[in-house]
Amino acid sequence: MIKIEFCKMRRRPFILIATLAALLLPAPISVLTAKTGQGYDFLYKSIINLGQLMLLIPILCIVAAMLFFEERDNNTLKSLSIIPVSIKQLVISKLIVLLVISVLYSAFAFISTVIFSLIGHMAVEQFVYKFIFCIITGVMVWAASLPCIVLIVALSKNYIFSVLFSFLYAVMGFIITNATIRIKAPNIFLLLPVNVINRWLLPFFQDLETADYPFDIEVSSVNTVFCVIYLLIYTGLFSWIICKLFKKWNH
Amino acid sequence: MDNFVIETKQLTKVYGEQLAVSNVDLHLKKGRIYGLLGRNGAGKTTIMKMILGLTPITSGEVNVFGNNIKGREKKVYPRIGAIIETPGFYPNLTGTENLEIFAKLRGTAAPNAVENTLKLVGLPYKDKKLFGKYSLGMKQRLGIANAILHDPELLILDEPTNGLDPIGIAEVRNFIKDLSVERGKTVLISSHILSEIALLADDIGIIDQGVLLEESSMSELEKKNKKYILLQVSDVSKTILILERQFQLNDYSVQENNTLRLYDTSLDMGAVNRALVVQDIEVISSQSCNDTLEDYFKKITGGVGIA
Repeated sequence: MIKIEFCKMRRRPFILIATLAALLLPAPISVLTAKTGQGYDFLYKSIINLGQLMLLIPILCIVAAMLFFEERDNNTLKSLSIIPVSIKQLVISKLIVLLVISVLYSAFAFISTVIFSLIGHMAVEQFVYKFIFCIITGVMVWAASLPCIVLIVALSKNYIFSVLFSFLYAVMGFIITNATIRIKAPNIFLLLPVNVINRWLLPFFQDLETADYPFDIEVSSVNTVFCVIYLLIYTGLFSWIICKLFKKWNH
Repeated sequence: MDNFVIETKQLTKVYGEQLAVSNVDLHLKKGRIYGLLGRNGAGKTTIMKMILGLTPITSGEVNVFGNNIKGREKKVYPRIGAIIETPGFYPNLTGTENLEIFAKLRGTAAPNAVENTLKLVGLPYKDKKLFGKYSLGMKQRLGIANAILHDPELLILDEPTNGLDPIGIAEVRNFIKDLSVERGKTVLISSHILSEIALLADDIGIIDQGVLLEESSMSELEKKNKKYILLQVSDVSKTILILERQFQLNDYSVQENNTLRLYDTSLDMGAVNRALVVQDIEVISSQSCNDTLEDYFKKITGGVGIA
């Protein structure tokens, strides 16, 4: 079913655009990195912050809108509802497609970062560790996108709304995280999954920094166990809500 | 007892305060074509949706292949092929790609099913034209192809000839007839086009405002249709006087164009003609007729005809 979901996206230029975004975003950042005299670690951190937390969320939301809206808008949902495949199977396969896209995007972004670093004569260190870390962040970003996908599906608007809403979600996540980062975890702002991922990333980013953060990382950060359990709960809860909403559309 | 492929008992659907379908008892026998005839908005699609479990039933029961469909929909779907309203496919894919997706999702189609089915409905295999660029007729054909792709025992076709040209309509009609006659498929077809149902169906259900007014075989219906003599004369008033006085005929109706319908078919028309000529009334035409299905439809719905 996952393969079928990918087949449904044939001739969709947006997938190509998303791939190009993943591959080309490191280019301007590598130029900036080289100009400011920063190294590979700065480029890598920027790609996670901008490429994954800021750009990947809207990409996933737009692909989700394509996957969910198109079957409704083209009456395909009716044809699908009289074949022996459950709504749950359909929704889960779509969510797995989004997860695969998230992982592939992260992998492309990482490879592209390495290539541009080498072109800019930057020393690439801890290749495997950083690759795995980038993929894990991709998986977390996928989970963090689910509330936004739920809202897009629930509000059932058009693509333009989905694009604007997903960018707003990503930007708001960024702003709220920065504004509340000094507040001790856990706190109410942790309801926003992007905030949780950012706080989980803090110790890893600290290792890449030459200077210390101007606040206590011990207080602000969340540990891996908390982050994983939190995102698992979010994934389960929001996947269930999407199933319910899709079922409602079907009727 | 008849072996019904579909049987509904007191099937009712209410949308808000609107009664869409009321106590429908429908019986579809194995290997037969059942035509559900009614005007637009009569409740045909709602009945089909309830049979398929696509819309919740307000009250009543639907039995498909001898079992209540409720909760068993997914088990029954491999045995059913259906088109409900407009066929829905992915506009960015070709007809072949669309069918391949549905074949994979069903997981039951034969190896060359897509190619064979497309040939059967007259669409090209591996064509590059995208579904989004298809004409309404082509979309309808692809919908039919998808309905028969997995070789189902039962076909539920909601207005399958919508958007087809006259040649296409005839082709689809013959094709559905062949499926029933040669392959033993059971077909439930809905239409608001009376002639289409008359040419295709073995059994007919007439629905109006959500109520199934009549259910019988076409042959029974033909027997029920009233026979009459259609008489066109130069003077209707004088003719009526003669018919009433000389032939004691009271069962007649006056139509347009100086025409009378005489419902006593045992009448000696030779004698009637002679009596009229003697009175200087010209007999323009005289013929023995049967009520059409349209007449019957008008009569039982108590309203205007159907297309």
